[in-house]
Amino acid sequence: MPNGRHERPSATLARGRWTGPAAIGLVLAGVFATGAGLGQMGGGLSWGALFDRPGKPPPREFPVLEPSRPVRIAIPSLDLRAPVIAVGLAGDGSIAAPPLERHTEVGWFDRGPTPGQFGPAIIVGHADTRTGPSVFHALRTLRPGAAVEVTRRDRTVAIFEVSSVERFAKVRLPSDRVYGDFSRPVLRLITCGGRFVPGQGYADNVIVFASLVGTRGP
Amino acid sequence: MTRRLAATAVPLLLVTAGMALAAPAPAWAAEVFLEVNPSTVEAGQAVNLRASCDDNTKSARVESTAFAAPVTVEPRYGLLTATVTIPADRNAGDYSVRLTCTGGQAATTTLHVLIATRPTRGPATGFGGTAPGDGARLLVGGGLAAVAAGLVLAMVAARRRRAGA
Repeated sequence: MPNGRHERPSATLARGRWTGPAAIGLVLAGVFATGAGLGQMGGGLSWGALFDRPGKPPPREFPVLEPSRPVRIAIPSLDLRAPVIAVGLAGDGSIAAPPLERHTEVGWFDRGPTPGQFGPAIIVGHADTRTGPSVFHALRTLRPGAAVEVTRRDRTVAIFEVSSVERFAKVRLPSDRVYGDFSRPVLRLITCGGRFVPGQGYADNVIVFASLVGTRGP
Repeated sequence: MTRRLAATAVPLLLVTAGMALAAPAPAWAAEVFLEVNPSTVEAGQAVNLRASCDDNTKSARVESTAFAAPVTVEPRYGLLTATVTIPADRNAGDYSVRLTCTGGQAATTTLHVLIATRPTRGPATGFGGTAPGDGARLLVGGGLAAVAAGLVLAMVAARRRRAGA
């Protein structure tokens, strides 16, 4: 259609002048909006996760401690320090979390082992309240190799090393991996993540798998 | 004088007697031991026993109220070993485990038994205060659409320019 071009030269020229900048503007605005949206969603995608190593294997040699209840937890890389209270089971059969007014504290599941004994010590904490972040909000950003220190009532400090940080649908937790490893002293930190369903809560749990690597004190 | 002598002699005697009694004890303790691995277990699961007596060529007996029946540890790799399953109906608690050697020496350790609790549902640990609203989803959707539109426009412009040149 060689004639088509010559029929309306001014229109073609005008469109040619504006499509380029418009395209660039649209792409830039789109990238910015997508980034902002993902930033607000959080958790769904993080740069760290793209370069994540699959996980850190637990050490072959490990200490074992006698039972003693946990009283404090510290995660230096998250600048997190919190008291530990004992929790049991909730009405629906899941592990209870600390009550809302104590959302800055974490709960140790008192029917399982204490941190440092053989088996999985389970500590749960809230990701957020109705209005803002809570004690375990940053848990999903924890990296393999990070240290988690649990101070116990006998004043020994059990030092755990993070093996992996994973996310599962609440109704499909890998219960053997979470609750069933009695081959060594391990720690499971559990909080919420994923999509929030009003009336039901978060759809997923973020779980930190960690192994005992050392002890300190008293 | 005699009274004072007696007063100093009695503690001295006690100290020597104590030393005589205490001295061989560590030697015995080093050779006679009992280990349970893991030392914490869920009722219904198995534990390994690892023991040592003076003579590890003869089997020995290990007893505990955590076991269904006394267990015999058999010679293996220079030690005495056995595997025992803790009955599923045992209560949670600390159980004493006692080794009795054929020579009469004994050693004890503690086994911590827990009730298997594996909640099928994950805990409710959030109230949604930091959950992304529909706004975030709209931003991502709209942003991706804008990027796509921009790319289409760029392609159209490039084709037009090439065709125009």
